[in-house]
Amino acid sequence: MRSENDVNSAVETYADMVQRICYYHLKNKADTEDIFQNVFLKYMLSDMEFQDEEHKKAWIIRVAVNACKDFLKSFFRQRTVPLDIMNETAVYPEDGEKEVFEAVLTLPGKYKDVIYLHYFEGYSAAEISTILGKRENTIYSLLSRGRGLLREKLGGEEFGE
Amino acid sequence: MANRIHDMFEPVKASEELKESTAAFLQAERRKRTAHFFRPAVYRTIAAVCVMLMLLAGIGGYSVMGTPVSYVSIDVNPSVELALNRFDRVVSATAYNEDGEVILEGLAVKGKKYTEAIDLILDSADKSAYLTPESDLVFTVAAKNREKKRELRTGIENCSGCMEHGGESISADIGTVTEAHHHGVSLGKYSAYLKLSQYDETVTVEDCRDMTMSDIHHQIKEHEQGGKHRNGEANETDDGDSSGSPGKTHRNGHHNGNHE
Repeated sequence: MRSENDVNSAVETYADMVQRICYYHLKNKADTEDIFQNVFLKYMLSDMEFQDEEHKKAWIIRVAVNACKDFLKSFFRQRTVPLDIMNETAVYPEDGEKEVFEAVLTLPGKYKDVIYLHYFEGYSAAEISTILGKRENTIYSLLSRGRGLLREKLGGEEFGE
Repeated sequence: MANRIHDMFEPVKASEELKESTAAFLQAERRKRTAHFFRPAVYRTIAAVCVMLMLLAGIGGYSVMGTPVSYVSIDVNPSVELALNRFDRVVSATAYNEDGEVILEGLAVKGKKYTEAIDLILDSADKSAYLTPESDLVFTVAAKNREKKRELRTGIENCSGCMEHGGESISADIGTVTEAHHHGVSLGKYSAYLKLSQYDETVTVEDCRDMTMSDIHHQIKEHEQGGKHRNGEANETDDGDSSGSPGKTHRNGHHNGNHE
């Protein structure tokens, strides 16, 4: 088990990142909190030795993404929360761009991950392929298709690059 | 576009509240797990030790309960021998001839107190008409020491079956049991054979096997009356145990008179 200091510093460093990943997957606050706490619990209990800070960050991203996917796949979740209610409970940040936000959040999960990791965290397709355990070419096509979907939703030309 | 997406995610931040609740949650989990880290080990060890002790006690108890330490042979013509554990409970009941098998058939004496078992056996023998006024009922007791023999004989003499049907009790050396079993006869019959062979060297165990106790006693009596070896303290066997006097004289007065 990792020391209290180690865990606390990881929470401090990666809280926002984990919160964003949870948020674009789950959209509502209550579920986010559970997953958020579990990601750091896994970190606390893990014996994994990290080569550097980047390695640690990548590990946490992967754990968070998987935790969200597992949660969405879970039987309980599928039976108890209809999709339309989930959409209603989505809370958008007041000062954010609501239009873009809506467009991104309604993308299928696999596009959201690559869009987030590429455009916000600044990872290259190669790096994303390592983090998510997918082939690099798959990441390229996910990125390009994700961009296409966003362009359709927003109707803007600026997503062309 | 990169900027718009970046800007969109920027305001999403973990609240201080969430960080604090997570810290509290993690601390609680840590405490729970460190406590669990020690407790099950201790409990498991205690549990394992308890199970071991119970197993040992069980095995020990079972072997103590199942090991015969003393023997009571009941001989009329039917020969039945009871093996008793140290709590005087019947470990096994063995018939040494066909009549004995008839008596034991359908009787469940295993685990019963020897006096209870004797009552049941005598009852069964009585019903099968083996106990007639002419027959001799002899209890032969072998145990590890004199006190135990005395205790068993007292128990036998005071049990209701023995009171009712009369009979005598004699002691034998525990080593005689093995010899008797080696010859395939009960302890009682073998002891009687040993006694008879003192007078008649030609008699064999095989001869005695098919004789009733009263037949054997009759022959012994004849030899004794012959005056060759007048021996009042009859019935004692080669163990030197001098407790050979008859225990009961209710029924076999004619016979016991000779012994006393």
